[in-house]
Amino acid sequence: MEGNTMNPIKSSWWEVLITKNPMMAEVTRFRKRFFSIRGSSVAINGGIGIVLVLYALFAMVCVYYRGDIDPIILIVLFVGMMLFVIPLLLHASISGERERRSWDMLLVAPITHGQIIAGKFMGAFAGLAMGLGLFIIPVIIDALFYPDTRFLPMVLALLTVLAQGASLIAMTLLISSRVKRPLVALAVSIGVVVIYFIFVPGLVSTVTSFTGSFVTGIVSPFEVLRRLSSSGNGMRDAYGNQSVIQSLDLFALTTGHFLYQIIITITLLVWATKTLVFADHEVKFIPKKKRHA
Amino acid sequence: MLEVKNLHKTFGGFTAVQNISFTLKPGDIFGFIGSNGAGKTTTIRMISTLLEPTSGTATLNGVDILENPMQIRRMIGYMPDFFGLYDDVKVWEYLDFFASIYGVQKRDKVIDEVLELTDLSVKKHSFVQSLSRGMQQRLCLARCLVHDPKLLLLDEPASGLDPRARAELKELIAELGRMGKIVIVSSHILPELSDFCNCVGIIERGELLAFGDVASVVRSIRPTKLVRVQCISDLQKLESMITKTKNVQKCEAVGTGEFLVELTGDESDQAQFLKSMVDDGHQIINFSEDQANLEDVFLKLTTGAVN
Repeated sequence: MEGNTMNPIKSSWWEVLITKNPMMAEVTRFRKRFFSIRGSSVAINGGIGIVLVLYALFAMVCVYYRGDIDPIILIVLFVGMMLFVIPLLLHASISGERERRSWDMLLVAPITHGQIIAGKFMGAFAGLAMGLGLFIIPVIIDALFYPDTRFLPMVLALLTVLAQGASLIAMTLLISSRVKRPLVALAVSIGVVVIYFIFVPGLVSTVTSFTGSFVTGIVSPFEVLRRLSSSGNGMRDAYGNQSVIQSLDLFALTTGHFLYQIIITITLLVWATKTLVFADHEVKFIPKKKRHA
Repeated sequence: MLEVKNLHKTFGGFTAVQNISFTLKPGDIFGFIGSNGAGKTTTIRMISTLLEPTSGTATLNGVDILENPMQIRRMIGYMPDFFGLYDDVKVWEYLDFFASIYGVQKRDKVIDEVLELTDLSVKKHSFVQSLSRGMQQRLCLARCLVHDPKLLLLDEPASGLDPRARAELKELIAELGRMGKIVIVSSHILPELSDFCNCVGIIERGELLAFGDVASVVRSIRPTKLVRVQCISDLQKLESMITKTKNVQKCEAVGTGEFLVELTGDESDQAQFLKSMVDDGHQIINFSEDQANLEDVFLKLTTGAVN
């Protein structure tokens, strides 16, 4: 019984889902949950403590070796971490609510399923942006001293990270909305990440022999970052390989990847929204064959 | 005013609720009684817009649950039978989150008010996880109240609570009724329901078997009065006198010097019966009506069968 047609005042989708979405309170909740040490959850506090120590080490390394490391390779490091941290933090965002039995209280509030998903997504995306903002401080210090720093590729690399992060968040939300248990959601999310970022690139490399590197450039953030790092006058890319790209349209490269990720993100979020409707109408205690008798 | 009209729900070939209809007015506290699986939760979930009825509908202050569920959601507070709270937040943060979802203005003031009403003011800055079960129940009720709903749907609110917490919750629900809210409470604890509900409904296998104020529902299963008479004078003479009295249907000796008398008529006939015994010289030491309660009604009307 989705009631999104019931608003007496016509609002644009942007207002409904973003600017006037009451579920944007999730942004504050996400921040308080994962960006502050104050709660009673030992696991979260311990996790935040470990992250802070690692961050301090990372900052020290960046400052000590300032100018020696290609800043884009540091951004690659962030993408690598992001692939596992996002599922770790978000796997329970919906399945956890179901398991905890707090889900009904959200469903009975005067908000649509789309607003719930948009709120959850924006909460996590704001968290990602905040995390990236903190991460980038030592990277900027390193970049200021790096002899071959080009800021345009760096900015495009950050956009690539955000776009990839958005689709990862959407994927985790979809999986979380389709399974009953948070642990199952975590396992499936990690499984998809491993398949998508290890097996699929391998497969795509095979395709590349027919299509050129166009497909790889769109699908893999690592490939985009590699090309961004080798787009200048240097002959070696961020991984130390001899660069084959002498001149490159940076915008075309990142736009392809960016658009691909945005389409994936929107598709997954819409799918997640539809999944919520499906899940509400599912009646677990009736045998499947009788359900549609 | 809540009007439930022929609400019906089937899941495939399984009928969970069969054409339930009833009307409640502001201030009514409605006790919804039924065995597990009788259809209480399904009915409550349909009224709360969480489940779409197969047929029938309900209106709250003229707003239809099918036509305008969003407006209905702004007017109801729903407390599920099993619920979880966000345990990683403080009490006021939890309420603030829901208050913002409901678009409540002056949230700080409203939160203070509902915390005071639910007697949780001292726990305002505590983590939800640290609250006792009874306090969590009250917090969930406070969450239902942040947007000042017209209708409260409380599904088994007293389950798992200790006697003190139950008494506090009972008082709180009665207070909400006095505030003019319509309250629907489903429960198994029948004596407690009769304490604060002014009307009840008994449901079995999705069918509403009885509905009305507590007294009329009780009267419906026992049209005659059952009076307990205890005497210290000549018992045989008294029994003979009772059986000859006009309104007496049946007289049964139940203990030493005690009779259970089934009596027709109203209160004045009852008073006349007592007067006639005293006038006849019998030394009556106890004369009391043995009133049926909700438990009797429930046991008489239901068979315990589920779909």
